[in-house]
Amino acid sequence: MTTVGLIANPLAGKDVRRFISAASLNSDRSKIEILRRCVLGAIDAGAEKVLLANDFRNLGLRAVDGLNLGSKIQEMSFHPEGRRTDTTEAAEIFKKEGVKSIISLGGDGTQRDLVLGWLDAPLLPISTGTNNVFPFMVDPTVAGTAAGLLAAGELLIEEVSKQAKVIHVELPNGIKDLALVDVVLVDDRLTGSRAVVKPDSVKQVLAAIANPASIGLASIAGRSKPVYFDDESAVSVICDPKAKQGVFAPIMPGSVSDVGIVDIKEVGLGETIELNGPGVLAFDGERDFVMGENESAKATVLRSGPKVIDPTFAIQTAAANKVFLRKRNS
Amino acid sequence: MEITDEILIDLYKRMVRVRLFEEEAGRLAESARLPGFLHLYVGEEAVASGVCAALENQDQITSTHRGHGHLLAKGGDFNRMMAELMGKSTGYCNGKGGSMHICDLDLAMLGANGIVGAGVPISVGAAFANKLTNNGLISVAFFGDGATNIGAFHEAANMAAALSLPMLFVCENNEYAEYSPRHKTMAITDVIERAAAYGFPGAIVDGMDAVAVFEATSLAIEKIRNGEGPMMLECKTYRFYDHVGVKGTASNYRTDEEVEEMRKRDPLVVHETRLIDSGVMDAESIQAIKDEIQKEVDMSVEFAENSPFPELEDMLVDVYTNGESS
Repeated sequence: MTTVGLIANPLAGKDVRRFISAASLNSDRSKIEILRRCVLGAIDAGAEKVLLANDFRNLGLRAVDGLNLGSKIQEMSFHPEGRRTDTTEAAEIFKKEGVKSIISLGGDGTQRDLVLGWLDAPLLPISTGTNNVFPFMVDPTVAGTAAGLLAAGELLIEEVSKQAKVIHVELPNGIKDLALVDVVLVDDRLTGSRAVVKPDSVKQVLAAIANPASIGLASIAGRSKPVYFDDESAVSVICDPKAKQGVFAPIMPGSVSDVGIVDIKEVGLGETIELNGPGVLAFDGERDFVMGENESAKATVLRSGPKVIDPTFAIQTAAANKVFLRKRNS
Repeated sequence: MEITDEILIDLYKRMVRVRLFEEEAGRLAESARLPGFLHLYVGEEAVASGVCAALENQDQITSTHRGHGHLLAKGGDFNRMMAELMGKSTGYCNGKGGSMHICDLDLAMLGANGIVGAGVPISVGAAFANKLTNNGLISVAFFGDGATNIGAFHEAANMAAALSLPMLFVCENNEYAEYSPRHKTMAITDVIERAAAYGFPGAIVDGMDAVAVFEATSLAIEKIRNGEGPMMLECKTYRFYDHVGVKGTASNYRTDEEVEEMRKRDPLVVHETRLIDSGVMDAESIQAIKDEIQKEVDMSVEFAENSPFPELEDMLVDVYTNGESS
């Protein structure tokens, strides 16, 4: 069966950064419309089925309401609980079902949760988060078409995707975690409301993607020493509010901060660096793990991540292959 | 704002005060020692505690039919509270208001409210007064998800936004409007989308985590005090007991399994774990706080039971102006 997986994080783009920055609210309605366009694009492109991850808001089912697509829509059989592990669990089911491509709506944190469930997933991430370094800003119809063409075999994953880097982290308690964009050590002792909002609290940034044109904590690294998706390296930046050198970085939408920098270092793939406590580790922008005084985490960047489908390149490839030209019945 | 050890302990004490008082009130109601309806706040303690800990003493709050927690988290008195629940003359409203009308103007608590959604426009009025008098205060309206389906909420949200009032809307979204699941009464799932409709920002926070609520509230009120207009904080929370009382109506609107699952996220346990893990308190000192507060609760029961009922001739006092009937 040529299946496209489709998932949306209902909570993406709704955290406290809306209080203190110019971050937009990404509403359910807007996500439903994006999902609907993805479905229509995918089916039109030849996908036989769309497997909907039934998020706890029913965004997916609401998106296909009234489309009369019958058996072309399949609801995933699991019970979401409104937690980030829902995304991870859904990714595991996508893998088990053998979907050919996944469209995932969310920000960097959402894509991280998905990859925790399927490390090298065929992934087309769409931006509906706050800081969107990893996902694409793309018309959902186009994204749906690209994912549908892959599912239908009109495109090959090898020709329209690139494997992403992953920051693999071994926590002090032995648990393994990961990030797709950045792991940041924050001078804090609580995870609180998750978002990192105090620029002076940043102690260290390890970024696999550090694009100076992006926003979020990775922009501290991106505006110090850029590292792009294709580069076979990462970057580590040591920060200190008392440093003599600073970088102007937009750590939140519309919120540019002067962040003190004391050291910038290229990190090779496979090289392991330590992030030493005390502090809180933030993964792809969210405070997640508290480290004590004598604890440290080990981080290694590898190109082991999802096969990221570039929707624009995919559509251009399909057009070059004359996929969209169809004979008409006279 | 840095979250100090003192703040972490303060948050815990506020939550324990609410929890132990509510558990006692529930036991009294079940044993018919406490009359009337009782809407218990058990499970939602992190919201009132996190919000009230971030406020100045004179910042006003308005409450709901489930209002004990709001007053207690703002520093309410156990004796006057318990006496009011028992309808005694030593209570907050001299025993004539009961559970759903408790208020304490000294604490800037402008009242619980038996009418769903009715507290929100009162909070708008307070915010309007704050703005007109430029007193630097903000007002906070607590309300549930169901209240946002009421007209008064919409008028209040519109007015607060149009006049750019210093007000924080705090939605305690516990997923049920009395016995109706949210998805059967609303086509949206996040109430902050209604803030966006009226033109002011909103954010969602884990309402089972007092630190998350405190931090989010602190971020919001700094902006609100700075003149940036109203904001809405939506706290995803859950009530462990029924809509009314402990056992309630035994209606099948939610499953026991669901309640048990949510009890695993008990805000007090979440915070106790944090206190111990971070070395702020040990298990012994946590238990000492509980014991001390339980004693205060026990004394409030004794105080209330030994207090007299209001006199018949006072029936209309506080109902009409000057306490005179006409």
